[in-house]
Amino acid sequence: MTEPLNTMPENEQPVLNISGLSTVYNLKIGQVKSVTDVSFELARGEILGLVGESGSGKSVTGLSIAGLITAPGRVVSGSVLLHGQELTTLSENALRAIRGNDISIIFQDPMTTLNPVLTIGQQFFEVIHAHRKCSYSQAMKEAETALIEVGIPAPRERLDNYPHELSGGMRQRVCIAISLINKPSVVIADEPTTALDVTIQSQILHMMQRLVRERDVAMIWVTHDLSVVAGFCDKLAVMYAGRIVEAGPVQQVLSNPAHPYTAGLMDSIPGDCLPGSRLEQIPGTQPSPLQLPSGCAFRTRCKYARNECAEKPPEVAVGSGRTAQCFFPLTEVQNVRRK
Amino acid sequence: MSDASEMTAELPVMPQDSPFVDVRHASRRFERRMSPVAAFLARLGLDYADEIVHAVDDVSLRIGKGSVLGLVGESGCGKSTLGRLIASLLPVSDGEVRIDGHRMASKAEPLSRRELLRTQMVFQNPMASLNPRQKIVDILTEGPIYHGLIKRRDKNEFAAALLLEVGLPPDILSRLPHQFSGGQRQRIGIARALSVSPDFLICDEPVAALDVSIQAQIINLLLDLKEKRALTILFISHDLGVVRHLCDQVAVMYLGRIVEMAPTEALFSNPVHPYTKALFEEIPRIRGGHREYQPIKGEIPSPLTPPPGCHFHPRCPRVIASCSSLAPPQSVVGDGHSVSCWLNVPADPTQRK
Repeated sequence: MTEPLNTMPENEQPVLNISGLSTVYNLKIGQVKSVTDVSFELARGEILGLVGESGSGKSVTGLSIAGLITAPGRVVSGSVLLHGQELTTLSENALRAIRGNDISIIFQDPMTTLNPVLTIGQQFFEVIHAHRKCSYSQAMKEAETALIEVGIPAPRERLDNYPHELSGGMRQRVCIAISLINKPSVVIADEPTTALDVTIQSQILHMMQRLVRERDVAMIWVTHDLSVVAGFCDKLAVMYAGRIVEAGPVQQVLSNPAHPYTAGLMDSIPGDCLPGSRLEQIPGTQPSPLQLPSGCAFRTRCKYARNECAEKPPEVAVGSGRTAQCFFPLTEVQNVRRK
Repeated sequence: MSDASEMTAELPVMPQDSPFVDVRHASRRFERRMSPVAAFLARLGLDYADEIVHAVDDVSLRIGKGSVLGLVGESGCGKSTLGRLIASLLPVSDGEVRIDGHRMASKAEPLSRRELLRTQMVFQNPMASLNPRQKIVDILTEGPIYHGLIKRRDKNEFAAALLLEVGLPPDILSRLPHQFSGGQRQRIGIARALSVSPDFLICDEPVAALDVSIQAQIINLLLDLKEKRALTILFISHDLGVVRHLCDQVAVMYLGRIVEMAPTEALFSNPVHPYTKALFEEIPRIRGGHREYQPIKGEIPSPLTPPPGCHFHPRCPRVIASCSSLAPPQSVVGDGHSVSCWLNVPADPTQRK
């Protein structure tokens, strides 16, 4: 990190700048375009919610940014700029120095992320030692402070525990503490609260909100849960079949969605409509990634689709800082009627 | 536990005349016996004992015919165990479960197969609950053929009709479970449960593993089936939004006990127990706007060593003196609305903080 943490200049360069990122998997049965032409940027202290159904490419986007795509997958085009440095062309060794240090990832299932045969303390030491010279006892001191920050009681004893001795919420907190130990500037969180209870989820959201603010970390929060995004993120990007179909500030997008898919997702969440009534559902299922429909991939399920939708949809601006990839973005009038 | 004798108020009478499902003071304990060495040491006066988990602790509830009861709680609170007790997949340690007047899982008066078939279960993970080597047609017809409900030669028509009912095309009879998406598999799981024409369905987190858009489809399907087949449903879930949408009544469970039970609207508009209130605060809301999260402190305690008195008291923001000594009795606070909390027991007001 080059700049001091607590200053926020007016026209700050984004920490992370992604443009035209595309990732494909070359399989025997054909080419799967997991991520197509994804672009966004992220500033310090900003949380981006990356939302989509399973298979929409949201996790692959996170992995592509961290350079974790392995064969048969490949990042075919686009650039990932971290503090202006291009990551997609870096060698594996140079990437290793960045991963876990300047970019870190929190995965969905902490039990598979943590090594079951190492104590929590040893796993902290591995991550610290990989990036800077540090004695074991000094690493333990740092680890203890990190565990206190994520709200784990009796941190000294926990360092000698193995992962299976901790509860699910505790394990995820350990993962978060490990991912933040080298003071990264970008954190990619891949559905970190999906496997947890609401009460634990809200503890973790509370803690992450505080840590992001205190440390000015830029964060990508990958999730399928729009309602988490609503209270937690600053920006929102909705993915469908590998593309970002709508992006913008959270409140604006959710109060007035422009893409029919975003609107459909919101309608299928129970809560606002009359209990016991049928939920508005998006008809059909996601198309197979091997045979995406031409043009707009959502058109086979979209009730507003017309013939033009078979062409590639344009990216239109639908307000300040908002875009949608759609020929016929929903207007405010339509949204009022939709409710 | 012996707290059953503390029950002062009787169960609130549900609006329905006679409950279809009647669970009376049901408990389920899981024990791990001491090793012989530990048993010997225990006799010498050392601190060893059998480990007992009170997974379900003196639970009473009633479900009226044709209504949907939602059972919510954190993982580890015993909601799935209670579901299994009601389905008589597990025997109760104490108390009894009656379904339409018949006592389940009792050695004295064993039920006929026909009676047992009336209760069916839908499980959380359809990939784990469907046999990966069985064709769809066999998954759907194995039960009814075994129990003599249909003839083997009719199985194709029977399975096709079931598939249509759950919204799947009937031409998939000879496919295998892995060829379907998660939502389709869950539909197959529901179709299998319906294949023996049950009138009581126990759904154990049927939508927890699904995407939101698919969740909506399954919820709509359950609503339709409930109407069409006049099903009574016990819906186990940790998702309060889904429960609010689907259920007529909700029971909130915490560490083996039901802490609050009420008709859905009453519960959501007026939660009484501090735990229920805290749970509702923590539902992420899509139209709530940006907000600060104020979580409940701590985690659900180990069921091996539950806190004495009210299990929730170490995390409760409104704890009073009596909370840590005795389990709170059930008190009625509204029409069909009961709660187990010392704050609602008319007692000496000076005790309160």
